[in-house]
Amino acid sequence: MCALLLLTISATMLRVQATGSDEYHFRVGVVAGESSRESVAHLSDMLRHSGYPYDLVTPGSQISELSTYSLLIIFESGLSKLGENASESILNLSGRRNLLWIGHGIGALDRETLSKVFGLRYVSESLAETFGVAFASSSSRRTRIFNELVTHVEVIEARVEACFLDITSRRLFPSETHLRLDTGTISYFFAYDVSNWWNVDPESPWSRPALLSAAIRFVSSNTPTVLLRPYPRNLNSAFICRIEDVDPLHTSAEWLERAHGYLQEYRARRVPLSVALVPVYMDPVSRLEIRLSEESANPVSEWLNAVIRGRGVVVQHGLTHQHANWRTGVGTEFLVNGSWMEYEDQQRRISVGKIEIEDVVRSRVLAFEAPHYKSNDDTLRALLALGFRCVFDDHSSPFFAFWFPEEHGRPSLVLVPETLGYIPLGSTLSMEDSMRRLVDELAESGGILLLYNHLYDDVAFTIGIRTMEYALQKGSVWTANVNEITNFALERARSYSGFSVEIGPEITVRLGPCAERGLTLLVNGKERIGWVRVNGKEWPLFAENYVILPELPADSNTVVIGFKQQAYPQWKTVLLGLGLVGVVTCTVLPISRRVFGGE
Amino acid sequence: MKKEEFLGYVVLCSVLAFIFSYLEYYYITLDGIPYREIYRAEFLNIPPYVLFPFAPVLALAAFLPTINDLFSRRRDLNELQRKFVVSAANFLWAMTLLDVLYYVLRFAFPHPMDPLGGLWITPGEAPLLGLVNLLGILWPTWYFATIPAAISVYVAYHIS
Repeated sequence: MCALLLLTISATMLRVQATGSDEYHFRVGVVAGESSRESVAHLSDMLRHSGYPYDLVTPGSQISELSTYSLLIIFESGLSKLGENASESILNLSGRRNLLWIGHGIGALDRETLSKVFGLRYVSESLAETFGVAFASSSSRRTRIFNELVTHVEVIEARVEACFLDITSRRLFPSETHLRLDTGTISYFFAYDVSNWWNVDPESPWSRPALLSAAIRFVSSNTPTVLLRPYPRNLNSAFICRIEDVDPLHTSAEWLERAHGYLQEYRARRVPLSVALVPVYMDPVSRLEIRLSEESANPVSEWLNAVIRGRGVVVQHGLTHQHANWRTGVGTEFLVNGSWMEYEDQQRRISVGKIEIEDVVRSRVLAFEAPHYKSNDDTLRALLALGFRCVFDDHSSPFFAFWFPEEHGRPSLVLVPETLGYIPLGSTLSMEDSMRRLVDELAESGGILLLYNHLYDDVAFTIGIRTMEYALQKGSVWTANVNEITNFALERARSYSGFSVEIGPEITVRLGPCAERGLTLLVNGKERIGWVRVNGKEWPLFAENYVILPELPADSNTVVIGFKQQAYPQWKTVLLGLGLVGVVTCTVLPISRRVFGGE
Repeated sequence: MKKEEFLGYVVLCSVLAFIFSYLEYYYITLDGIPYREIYRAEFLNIPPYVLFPFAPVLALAAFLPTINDLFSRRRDLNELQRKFVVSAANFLWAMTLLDVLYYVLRFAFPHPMDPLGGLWITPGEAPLLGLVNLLGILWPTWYFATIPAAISVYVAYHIS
């Protein structure tokens, strides 16, 4: 009884809670107008993926409202939202908040503001080809400049991060600068729209997301930040390999041998495969129709089942991947001669294919890839109605996107982008180098690593294995299957919808519900994390600067992160421990001695 | 029970406890993070795999002499009682060792992906009865009940 009493008293005394004042919200504000829609879409994808809480600033916002943001990202198209005198607003904000200017239009600011805030002098603005600009290059990265608007500025006080180059690599003028103001805030400037023209340069499609991501990290580096990491357990990237365009006619001994070998290599490294499967092969000209359930397709079915046993998944790739007289694999399916197929027809075709696959592989099919990525809102509605959760897509971004149907009001389908591209027929092993460059670029922005491989030949086999190995070597790569990745992405999106951060002596984070364990909060710019409470309960899983969270069951969940090590009471607990030793020894020893006949 | 036999069972339980703690720390993981750390157990903070199969297997090993005696034809009730007490002590010893070795492995040979790798028991991991801060090192309070209980039995057995 004494021990119990001591225990209760000790437990109560251990709950010491510090309180603090001087708190502020960590949030990013995006100031942009309608004309920057595509850029803002990319930027939003990046901010959501990287886990920054952000808002699109509404017109007429007061300076007091704007100064609640830790970082303001400004496009010229959004200047009208900063009031009648945008220059004055920016000058007022610059001493208090970090600023990041993207793209053309900085000439609209007056000379004094431009000089004081960005340390620059405006010269002119024109299409890149007018200046002979071909690249923007820093010491670590180079990105191609297309026929887009670029701004010619001269540096007064700013530090140059990168310069425009002409086709002969001659330096022209700064493309990227920053200025650290006396107040400690940072003003960053891109002389071209770094949030646009993604996935356009075939050699370096993801250099711009990597540059933008690095700039946002840098410009936020002077204030404490809390990010909701895109992958679980503080992992930095996710690797997916999809075997493409498999159909019931993939029964040649050569292809099957390669496919089994590939699967073995992946299984040996515990990386699951995804297989984009066309369940019915059609060739109307030769009147050939082979279904997956037919006996002739058994070797393919056996391989698919082996893929599933290796934690892999089958992705439905249309029903026949063709229309009219095309044979499977050649034509689109839902877009015929420029017209979209009706919703009912799309749903029927997808449903027939799903049943065909599920009957053979005896596993639920939850992921879909439209033939040639040609899908519309009707396709997505049909997929949602049939229980799909993931769609492979080519939305020119290395990050997940989500489809929010109005009637659901929450993200219901995850769109997974193609990022590493595919290995064309007749490739040489030198392609491996370009794959490695892409992996490096994507790793910088935490993008998804999605490789797809037709396994056309042995070179494709080797490049596929080596690219996977290279991705794994980078470390912190998530190798879950597509269904697991989808579940996590959807749950994280739900949680992110309620994400807010309040920073003071302690950090208070609010998050929406999440049924998946492993959401990670990354805390930068503060001292070592000392303790964490999730919904009022102590939570032990944290390291120096990140916290790995449990499931978050409530609609709104609170995570409090403290930095001062909590002193664990010494003498009270020692007293309790020694008391327990005494009580147990005095009870057990005499009884044992009696049992063993010592007394 | 002969002393060699007694020692044999203590060693068996200790070896099993080591194997289980090794498995638990390095293999019952999610992307390298031990299950024990990422899944906070609802029932008495005991992970489900400890409830089954770790604890039953350790109990089987610890109570083997008692079980043997129960199935023997010549049954001596006093001897059965003695074996039961030793078995119970072995079980408590094995469960404590399983727990303490987990933290020893984490502290001394951490998994590179484990955020708590290199750390001894942290305050946030307090089990049901809390922790005792002994000379700046935290120990689960329940150790202070199970270890004296097991040692008392062993001492009584030794001096008998």
